[in-house]
Amino acid sequence: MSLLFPLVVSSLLFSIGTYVVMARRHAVLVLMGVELVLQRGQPQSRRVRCLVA
Amino acid sequence: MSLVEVLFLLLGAMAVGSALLVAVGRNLVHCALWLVVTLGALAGCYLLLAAEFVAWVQVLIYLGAVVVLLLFALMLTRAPAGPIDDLTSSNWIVAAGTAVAAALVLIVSFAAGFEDASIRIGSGDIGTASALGTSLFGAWVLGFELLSVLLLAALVAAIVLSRRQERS
Repeated sequence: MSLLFPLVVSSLLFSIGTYVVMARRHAVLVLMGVELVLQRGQPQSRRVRCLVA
Repeated sequence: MSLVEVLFLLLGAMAVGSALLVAVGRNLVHCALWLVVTLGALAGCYLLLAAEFVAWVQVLIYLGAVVVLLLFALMLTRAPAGPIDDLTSSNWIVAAGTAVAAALVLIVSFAAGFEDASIRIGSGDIGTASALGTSLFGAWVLGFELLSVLLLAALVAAIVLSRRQERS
């Protein structure tokens, strides 16, 4: 599989998460946005491990 | 395009679509439930990337614990159950522009940098718990320890803050 698929999905999740953090008013929704941003890091570390392996 | 790629694209579109619904939804509980769909689709993505340990940890921690924590926070803070009108602040256009710019920068730079790179899913046991633990406590042990200190500090800070409110 091309490496671009997970990278693009994680980039989109990251940007949606930043939008949620910046634009939403309710604190719990901001926490949900933080979760979305953090989800983006996991495919990235996964990519590092794939390249190392 | 292979079957794995098609499935990955479907799950990725599902994750991004439900994340968009989290971003625009007007009902807090519905937003939390759409977050479940996002996290579940991502768990499927991890499975397709042969990272089965990460996938099951994702199901246990995020779908199990984090979403339940969010729902508990919604219930305990007496958040209104119905739709709320002013859930999005008035400067959402700036936020949306920043988000789109961030997505464009990330995607363009990834496309330029990793154009030819591919993942060899069938090679070795890169997704097992032992491989993950070896890399976590080998190459990445400094970040792991820093995170544990940060979590400890957050725990102490939470206790201090809640006790101070109790006293006043």
